[in-house]
Amino acid sequence: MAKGNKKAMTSFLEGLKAIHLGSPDAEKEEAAVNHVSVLLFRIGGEPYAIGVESTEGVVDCPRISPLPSPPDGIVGVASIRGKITVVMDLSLGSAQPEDRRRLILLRGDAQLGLLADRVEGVLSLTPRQVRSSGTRRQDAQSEASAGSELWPSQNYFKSEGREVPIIDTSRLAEV
Amino acid sequence: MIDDKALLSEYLSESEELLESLLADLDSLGAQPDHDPDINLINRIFRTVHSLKGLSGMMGLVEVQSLAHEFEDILEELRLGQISLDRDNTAIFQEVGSGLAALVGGAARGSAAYEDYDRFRELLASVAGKSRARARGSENEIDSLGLSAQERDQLREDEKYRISVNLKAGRLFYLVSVQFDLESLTTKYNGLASKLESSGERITTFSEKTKEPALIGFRLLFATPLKESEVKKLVEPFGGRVSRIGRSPWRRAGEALKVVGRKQRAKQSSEKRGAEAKASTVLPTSFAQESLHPVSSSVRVELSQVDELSGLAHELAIETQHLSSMADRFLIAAGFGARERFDLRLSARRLEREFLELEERLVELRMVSMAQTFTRAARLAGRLARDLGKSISVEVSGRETQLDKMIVDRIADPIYHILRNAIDHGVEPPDVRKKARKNPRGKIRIEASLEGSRVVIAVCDDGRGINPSEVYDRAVSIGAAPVDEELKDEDVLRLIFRPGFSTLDRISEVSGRGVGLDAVERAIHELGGEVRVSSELGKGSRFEMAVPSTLVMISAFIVRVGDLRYAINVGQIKELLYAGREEIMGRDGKRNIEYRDSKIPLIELRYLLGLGGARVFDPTDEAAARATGPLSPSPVGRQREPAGLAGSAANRVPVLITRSGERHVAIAVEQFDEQREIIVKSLGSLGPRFKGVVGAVDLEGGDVALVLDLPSLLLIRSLRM
Repeated sequence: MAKGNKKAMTSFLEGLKAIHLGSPDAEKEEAAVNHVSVLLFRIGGEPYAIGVESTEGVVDCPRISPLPSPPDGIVGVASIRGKITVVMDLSLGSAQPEDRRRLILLRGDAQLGLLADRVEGVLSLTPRQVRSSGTRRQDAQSEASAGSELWPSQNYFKSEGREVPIIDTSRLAEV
Repeated sequence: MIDDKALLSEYLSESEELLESLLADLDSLGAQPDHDPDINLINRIFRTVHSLKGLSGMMGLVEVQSLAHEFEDILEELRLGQISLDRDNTAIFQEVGSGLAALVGGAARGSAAYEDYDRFRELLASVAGKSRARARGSENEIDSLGLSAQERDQLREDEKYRISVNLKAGRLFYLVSVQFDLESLTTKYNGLASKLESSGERITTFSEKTKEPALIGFRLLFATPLKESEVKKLVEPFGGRVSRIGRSPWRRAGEALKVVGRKQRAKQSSEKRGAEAKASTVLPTSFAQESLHPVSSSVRVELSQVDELSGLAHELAIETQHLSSMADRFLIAAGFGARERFDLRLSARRLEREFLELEERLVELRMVSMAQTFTRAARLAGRLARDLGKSISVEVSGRETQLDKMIVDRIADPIYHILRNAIDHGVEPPDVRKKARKNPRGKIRIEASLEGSRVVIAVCDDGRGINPSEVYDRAVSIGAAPVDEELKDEDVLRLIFRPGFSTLDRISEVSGRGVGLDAVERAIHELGGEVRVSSELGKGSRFEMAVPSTLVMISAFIVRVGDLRYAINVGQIKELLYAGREEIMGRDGKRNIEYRDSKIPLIELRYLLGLGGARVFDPTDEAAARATGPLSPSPVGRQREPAGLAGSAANRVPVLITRSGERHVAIAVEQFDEQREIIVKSLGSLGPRFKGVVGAVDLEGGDVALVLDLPSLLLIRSLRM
């Protein structure tokens, strides 16, 4: 991991710790067994998370062959360890230069890989930190505009006052 | 009884092949001369029956196995010349051959025909009986040598056979009597024997009583074309006596008369036997029909034929789409309402789906089970273990797992390779295992299982396991591992797939020189699969090869657009040619080209793929000139050699002609690359949603070329317009 990434990662994690420490009573109730491990990464500078159990690994993204008239979110295919991987890019174009991108390989028959500018690491969340966006939609109707509709995530958690969506891979495959 | 259907059908198709060649060979046996049949033919028949025996044994078909076994015994006698190949025997062999076919067929239907089985055994026994009679016949010949009763009893069957062979060859028989003392016995005896053998055949040696207790006497039976005086000369240095035995020319004439008489008697008795055999073997009708019918209900079809059919089904599906969109336009033009258009679309969609299903079912025809490969692998493992002085038991599971025929063929070598490693490097020798308190007998498991759309083939052993620190050290020493980076054990294990890797300094004869696992991984990657390894020190290792269960290999032409390459099935290319820029008429999206005296539309592949607008076909345009650069096209079936290519390459545009419905369409690319066989890899479960693309192929340098489907690309474009 590059140094710059490490720094960003640290500040990101500190932010998370802050919320965590901010609610000590919640901590008592939750048994460690219920923790959810998520992989943290950034797309277009924005933080996202994905359940670790639905990933297969992270690799540097090789050259992508674009698909003709692909569905939204899909940019093309790349060969990862001899397997053709369908590359998804949720950044809508505002991404890192090509050679710096990482590809998060997802489990499943869809052979999907998710482009990320940067992968921060794995974080353990308590079930209470994970919130459903069903409620979010009601609080912040205005936010559910063009962009957020695209995100295949139902759950999120809060970090530094920001909502970090937890991407649901079963929905990704339905693009 | 065979319960497993897939296994049964495989058994049937393999035994059918054997039976076919057996019956054909038995037929040509009938045309052979009695006395001097083609030994290669007999050997081949022997081997076929032997394979059939093994195969039936493997399937637990006891009747077929034991009949084949008895047949094999008789054939062995035939090979040794103990049975002659007369017309009767040939007929019986042919009948037993079709009997085997009937039994295999019966086993396939689950109705073993026991009476038939017994009858065939009787037939074989009658041949064996005759051979005993025959042996008695040669007793008569041996009589003519005038040996003592005691000596005759000492003759073994093979010696009797040698006697009759030499008699037939007209050689002379001698008894050479010698006496040696104990001290010089070995050298003298050997000296005499080799002397005799240099000019004839020493058939056997009898012991002889001597008056002197210090001497040991022998009588050697010797057959040779040499005259008595010559033999005496040979034996002289050894102080032996020589006596000629057997027929004088006068006795030979008498013998000849006897032989004629015997032959006539034999003929009579064999005619009688033939009549008996006919009476007792009226075939049950079902059986008689059976021998005419093929044993299994399967037919053999070339894979390429299946591929052609599935390709055709695919085209039909696309054509249906095309037709439906056209019909839709007509309906609108004719003023039909939404209801009619909906109905039309519905039934067109249904038709398309059915064609696609047809395609899928045809692709499934390529699937075979792992049974055969696994059986061979298990056998090979047993043999390897023996060779290496190790004791193992092999367990196999998932034989019924289905895989594309081509993958099964290509995965065999990797499986054997990993198996060899497991036995050679994984499983410890029995004494080491005992010390480690393990069962001295190692265990190897070979499994196949499904994992989504992939098949995972695993080879596991309970051997010493792979030591990550040894692997790491070794990898560092060959420069295959980063020194400063910390690796997880999992990643360290993957280093064994690096070229030139081998943890053992000892180079084993079996596993080669550590050129292996990288080759294994490459082979599996080529199939679109991956190799995984896990290991626990002291407990064993597990290698998994995950491969797609289906794949399609096509002959494709690679073209370039910009810096991207695309593969196109040559079946979709009618012709490749270079069009001069001046030949391209019209502007922008509406270009035409003259092809076979008519104007056909010319579309740029770049545009079809949504990669940007049309080029300007102007000779002065530098980018275009560069894109068409120096050209070196490879031949494609119907390629027309472009005239004056070398001179004005930059002025010419590579164009491929394809068909869209009834019309030809020219598609302009930026460079022709080459034609090659490619394995089309699946794009996963989302694949069908990516229009105009049927898969992808790995190219050198980690690049990927999409395999285009020109008809659907053209269709998408026509729908867009």
